[in-house]
Amino acid sequence: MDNWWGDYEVATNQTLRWQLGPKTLWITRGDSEWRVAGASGQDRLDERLVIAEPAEEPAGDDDGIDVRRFASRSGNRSVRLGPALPDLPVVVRTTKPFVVPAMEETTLFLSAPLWLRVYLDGREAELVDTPIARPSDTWFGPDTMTGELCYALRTSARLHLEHLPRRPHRAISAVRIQNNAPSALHIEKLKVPVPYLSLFVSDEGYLWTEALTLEREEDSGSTKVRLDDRPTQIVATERIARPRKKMSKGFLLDAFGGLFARKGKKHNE
Amino acid sequence: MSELFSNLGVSDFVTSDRMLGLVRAVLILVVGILVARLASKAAARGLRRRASAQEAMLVRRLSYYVLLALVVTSALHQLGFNLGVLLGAAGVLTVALGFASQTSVSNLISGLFLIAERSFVVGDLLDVNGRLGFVISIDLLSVKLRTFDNLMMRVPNEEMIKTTVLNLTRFPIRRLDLQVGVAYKEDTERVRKILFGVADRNPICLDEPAPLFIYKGYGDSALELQFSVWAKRENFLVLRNTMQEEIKRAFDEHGIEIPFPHRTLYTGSVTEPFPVRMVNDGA
Repeated sequence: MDNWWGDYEVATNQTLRWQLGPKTLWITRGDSEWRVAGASGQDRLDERLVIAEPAEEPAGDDDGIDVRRFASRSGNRSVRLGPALPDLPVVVRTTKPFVVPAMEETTLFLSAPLWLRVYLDGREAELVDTPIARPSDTWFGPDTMTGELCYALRTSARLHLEHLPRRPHRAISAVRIQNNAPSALHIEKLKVPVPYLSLFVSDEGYLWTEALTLEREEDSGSTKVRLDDRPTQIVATERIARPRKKMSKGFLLDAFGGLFARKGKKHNE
Repeated sequence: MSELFSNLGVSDFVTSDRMLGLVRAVLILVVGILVARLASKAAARGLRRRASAQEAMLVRRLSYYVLLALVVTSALHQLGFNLGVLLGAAGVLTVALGFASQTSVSNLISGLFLIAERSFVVGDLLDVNGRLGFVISIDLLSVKLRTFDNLMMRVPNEEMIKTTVLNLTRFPIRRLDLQVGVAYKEDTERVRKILFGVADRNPICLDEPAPLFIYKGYGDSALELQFSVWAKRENFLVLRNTMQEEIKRAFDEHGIEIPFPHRTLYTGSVTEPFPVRMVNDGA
């Protein structure tokens, strides 16, 4: 599979176009500026992939096309496109309520949507940081007063990797769940702290995050999170994106939804 | 000349204890006010990390006035005033002042309670008696709000304590209740599916808490439905606009009628049909 990320050289007054699933991106190099235009389609299952195709520059006043201009010294010739993980944790559901008995462990696979970053000529700070397919917002917490805003994943977590659809604009995470508590753990949904994860490229050209372990010690809601150095299921070639946030030691997380999962949707009333 | 002074007793006065007392009193006042100001500022700064902005402000003001009172009393003491007598007189005066400044004192005490209760902080959006505004400051006598049309609204603390105040920005998510009316001929199950579809496609509409569909009743002209959706507080207005727009578009696409008010005319006991006139303008 061709990678859509990497460095691209753009001639003066040339426009290149990328199509990453529902997201269309145009990058134009002007005399002393760069123009980055983006448009988002509605179809989340869109699988089109077009990489750096010369195109006409879109008119900025078209519906749904967002154009941004960036000043730059005329020496800059290339841009770099890079993937990034979402800026909020993602919440993934299991296809059916799933039980991990006491002292058991299991591994679930999920596919997280990606963000697209545009950098100028080897600079560290990005010009644009935008979702390829904007996931829906959701609330994860024991009630409507306490909790955290997250993104909801439409695809559910799978036990078998081969059941997970693979797309160039999504990243796969393996989540090992260890239930060290004396009681069974009912999982309907799972919060995965993706802003703390990095991205790796597999030898097949797909993106993966490092494997993470959620350790449930006691019957309390909080879970210990441990990150591996790299994805464990694949031969990873290189790390291509750093985490957005740094994880502190002994990071605890309410990963399984606690009360809210049990109380269901009562809070609406 | 010196005779003149000695006759007037000026030189006696300059060297007298009274003059020394006066100098001391002035010194105590100047240094004391300076110290009080610095100390209260330092106290507020020390608290800033642990307490909210208005608590720090309150501590600063209180400590300043207490120190100021101490400075003034010791300055008066230097001038030879008998503080016992003065305090006695002040007691009588306080009763008189208390009656006169009842409103201010009640506001002041309400202000202390408001700050202690922490129902809202500076920056929150409040609904006070139907008027919306962002809190600019919580002062000793009043709460100052900035309304959406950029007016300053001053609400006395006493009123804030007595009336119901809605804090719109306390919790991170909010629910939007949309009142939807559809024609009686429509299948509500289909309407329900369309509404949920619209909510599902709108990314700022929260997945969970899930949208809520309530069949409210049989209205005069329409089936009355309520569709409640949740959003992040900051996205509330965007959700309100996008949802209504998208619901209207989805209803138009699926041919679902949003009826206007109907009126059936009854012309008395004889219900003859209404005469209808056909107009043909030759087109």
